[in-house]
Amino acid sequence: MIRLAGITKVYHMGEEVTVTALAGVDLEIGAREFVAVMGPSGSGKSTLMNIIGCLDRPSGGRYTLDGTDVARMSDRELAQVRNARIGFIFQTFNLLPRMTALRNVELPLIYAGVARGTRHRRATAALVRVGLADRTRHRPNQLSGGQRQRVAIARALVNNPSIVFADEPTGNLDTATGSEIMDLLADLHDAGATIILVTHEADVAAYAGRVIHLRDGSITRDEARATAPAGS
Amino acid sequence: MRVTEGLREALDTVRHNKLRTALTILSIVIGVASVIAVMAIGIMGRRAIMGDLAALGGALYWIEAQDGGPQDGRRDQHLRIEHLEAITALVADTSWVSPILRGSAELRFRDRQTTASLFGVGAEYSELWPLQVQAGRFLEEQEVRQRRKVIVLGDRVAHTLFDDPERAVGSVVSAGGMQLEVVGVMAADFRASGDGSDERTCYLPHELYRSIYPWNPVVGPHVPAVTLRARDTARLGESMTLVQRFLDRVLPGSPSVRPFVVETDQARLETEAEVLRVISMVVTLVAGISLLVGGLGIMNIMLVSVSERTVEIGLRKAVGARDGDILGQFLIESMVICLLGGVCGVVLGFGGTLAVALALGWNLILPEVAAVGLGVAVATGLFFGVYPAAKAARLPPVVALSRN
Repeated sequence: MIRLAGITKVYHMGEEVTVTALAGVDLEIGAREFVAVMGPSGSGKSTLMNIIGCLDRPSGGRYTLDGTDVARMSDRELAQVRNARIGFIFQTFNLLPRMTALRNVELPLIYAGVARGTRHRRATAALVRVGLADRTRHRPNQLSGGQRQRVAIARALVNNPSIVFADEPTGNLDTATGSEIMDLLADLHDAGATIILVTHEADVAAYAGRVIHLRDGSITRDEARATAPAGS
Repeated sequence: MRVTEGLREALDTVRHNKLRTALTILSIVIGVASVIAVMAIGIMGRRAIMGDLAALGGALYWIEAQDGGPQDGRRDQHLRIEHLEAITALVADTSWVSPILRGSAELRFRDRQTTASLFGVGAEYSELWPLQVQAGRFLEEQEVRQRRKVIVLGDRVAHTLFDDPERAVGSVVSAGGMQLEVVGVMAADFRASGDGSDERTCYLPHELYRSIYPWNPVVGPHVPAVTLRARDTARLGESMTLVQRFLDRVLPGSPSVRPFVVETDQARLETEAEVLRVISMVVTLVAGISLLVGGLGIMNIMLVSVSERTVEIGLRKAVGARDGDILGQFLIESMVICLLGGVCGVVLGFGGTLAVALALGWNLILPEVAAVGLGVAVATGLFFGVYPAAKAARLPPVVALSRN
């Protein structure tokens, strides 16, 4: 479903200075895979995720998503793809601080034009699914880090996306909470979603069935492994 | 994103930034209040003044008897109807509208009595001024010619004598021993500037008036004051000069005192209109500057808001917001802030307008002006909100998200 061919990303930092974040990446990710992208800081893993997640456009190469050439999509179409087919989970949660958990989860549905009643029902169901049935009216600053990330996961899954991106989802959490979050992601995967996980922690990457190693903007290793998560 | 969601977000933001919003809208408040004031006062004032100016088309002027003018003993020094006829023949542009004889008398009805100012006028008088009766009718031409004993009461006089103006019509009042039938009552809010009338003014035929004028010893058809009309406003001065020269020639009086002078309200009305125009210009300027300052304030605060919420914008885009959704969200926010300012401004502006209207006795006009005031506020929000909102909408999602 995801096919990258010769993807490059070059940043121009002022005159004559360019930084190559991705130096020709070829990658295929099939439906229902659980992929971890690993690599040190500056290896280009976040850039790769942004491109696959349609948040950014590559400088060169070809990216087809479900058979469609992403380069040919308008900004509007990309917004719709992000809305309907992709869910994002960030290291810093990125919840809107003034809104309740419920409304944060509703956000993608608002942009999808879902009617109020349906929106409430689906957002509540998503919060129940991540174990926050009793926290729907809480604001982010009334929630613990783990709970905030659960809200973010509920937001990512509320539109039933086929792909979920998680960028260092446990980076701001303690180990116990982190593994709870990873279990949730594993559940999501079991329920049929494609998970793409960016991390630099091996025990987090261990949840994935496939680990891609990135260094200096190129894939150095692409290994499949048994899907038994190390923690469970 | 739908408008209702945008409004909800905007109100939410305003609620969380109360002080900042209040400070930002201050200039908008002043600007809209000025807009309200300039429009309301301008329109009301112009109505009041132009109503006087354009009463009949053309300009009105008067021949007035000076204090101690025609000596009582010298009947040849009185202004007569024949003089007026000569004037209208001499000054082609001028027509004789109505003589005015003025005085005061005690009016009685049964056991009640009140002081009224009496105007002896012709039937044309009602066309000259925007006179309105609340009951009955004004004098008719035939009544004036035939010296019929009829009177039209002022509103206050009718209330004092009869309580209910409706009951006055058809009753008989006595004035200086003469029985007069009430044929009409003037409207309560009736105002005519220039002829010196008020709510106590009662009108009766000028031919009749002479016979009850208590301190007038002169027998014969003399006229203390008369209203004239120049059809061409531009030639008013010329006509007045001609009439004054004629009067000086035929009724010279004593060398030191002119018995009759020619006067007009026109100059005063035009001065008033000019003053009003200048005031309007100054207030318009204040309104313009306030709205400009207010608009720039809005723009500034919206730019701050956009930069504070860069991550939020990135996140919204990541979950599916289109550029148009973000644009709409920030535009609605700046319009809502300005609308709040507009509402305060309308309230403030009406306070000032109401004070002026009460002081000058003008009719207050409200809804149109309020709508314009709010419209101006929203338009300011829209105009000055476009740049920050467009800036927010154009933020690439990945750049916005990487800010944290």
